[in-house]
Amino acid sequence: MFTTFEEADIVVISLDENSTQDALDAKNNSDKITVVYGKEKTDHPWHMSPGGGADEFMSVFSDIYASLNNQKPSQAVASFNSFDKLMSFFNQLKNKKNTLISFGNDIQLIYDSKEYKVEFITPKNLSMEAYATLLSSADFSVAKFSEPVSVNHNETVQFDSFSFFWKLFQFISIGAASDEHNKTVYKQMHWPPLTMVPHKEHDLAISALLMKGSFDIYTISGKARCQLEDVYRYILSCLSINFLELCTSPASEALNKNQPDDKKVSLLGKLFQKLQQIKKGS
Amino acid sequence: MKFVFTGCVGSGKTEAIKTVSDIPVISTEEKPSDDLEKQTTTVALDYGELHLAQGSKLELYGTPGQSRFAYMWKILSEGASGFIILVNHKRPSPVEDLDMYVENFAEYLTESNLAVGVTHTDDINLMTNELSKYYEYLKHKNISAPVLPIDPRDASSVTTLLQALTVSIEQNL
Repeated sequence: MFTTFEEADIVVISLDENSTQDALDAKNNSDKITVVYGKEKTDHPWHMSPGGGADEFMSVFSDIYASLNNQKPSQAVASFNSFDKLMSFFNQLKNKKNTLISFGNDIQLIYDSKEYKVEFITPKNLSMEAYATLLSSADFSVAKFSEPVSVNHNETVQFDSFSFFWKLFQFISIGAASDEHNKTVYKQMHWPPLTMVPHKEHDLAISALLMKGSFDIYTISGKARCQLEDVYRYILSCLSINFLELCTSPASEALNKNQPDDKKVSLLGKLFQKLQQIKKGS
Repeated sequence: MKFVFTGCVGSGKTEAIKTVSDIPVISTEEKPSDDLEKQTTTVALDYGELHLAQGSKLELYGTPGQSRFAYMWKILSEGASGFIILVNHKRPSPVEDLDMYVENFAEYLTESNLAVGVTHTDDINLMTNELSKYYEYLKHKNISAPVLPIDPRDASSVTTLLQALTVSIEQNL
């Protein structure tokens, strides 16, 4: 069932209104194929997604991963023909690093100047219970429910349920760069520093987070378009810690004030010499 | 040692680093979401290296051009020994562009760690009087920095600018 799952460098589960609802339908009604991960919607063969915006994310991640590791990420393809098997798959993920759960664009956090609410914005009859069932079945740490919730399309839940979604969104913010409403929401939530960037750039940041490899599960909105400065800082820390030591030149190499002048001159001399070599070769 | 290339979108920062880097440049080029003429733009950073003698290296960082990434400018500037601001000469107000970056990088600029590269010139041997407006601006800001027309695609051109910066830094040690 999981053809190359164990070898995968990264696993992406993308849940949108279709896949989630299908999974629930399967649980309740049949053993039909519920969530299919594969090549159907993308040219990236290792990408598993029936939706949720993960294809956008993956296109960026693939390029970065390849440039830093000189190879494409390994492939992971899985398909499920029953809800139980999907749950089994989720449970395996608990022990696997670099798992991203991408939610579709169908949930939004709304602040109406008095309280926070969660609102489903999809045209489908998707319930929070769907997400809850999927996640809690696998006992993910991000999905601890204090009480059962069941909210249908366009209903809102009150602040009591906010803690659940706060956990979902605590790492990555959601919102649209062009959406003034969401900007307002996050400003009111005091999420620093609320720099809005387009979603491709958001995806880049997520990619870096994944490469960091030090987390279990992150949740994002697949169509998310705003991004925290901290996430961009992660990019640099990921790159510097794991790959290139970016941004932190060795102190001995820096032209800092504590370094003797002769060492500074020596370093600059080497540089000038190198530049001369480039010039001669060009 | 670390140099930072900055400047407006399309000024040639990524290209300049690619032209001289000894390693394949780590680029974070993505399709811009705003209305730019470019196919791609840097969204986080570019990174290249020049390998120097005895294991030393010069790290070359390119910043995103857009001001919405200003926080990246600060992150990338930490610990930098030199700054190169590239100015697209064909933009409507290139001196204003230069001013924007000088102002934003002011806390990192010293009297000797800046060089200005003027790109998109029809003639690489740009007449002195065309460069004078940049010099006048820098003089007005009490900044002494070399200003050179460069072609970011040409290694000789880019290295000349880097050499000018290197000499400037060394002279003021």
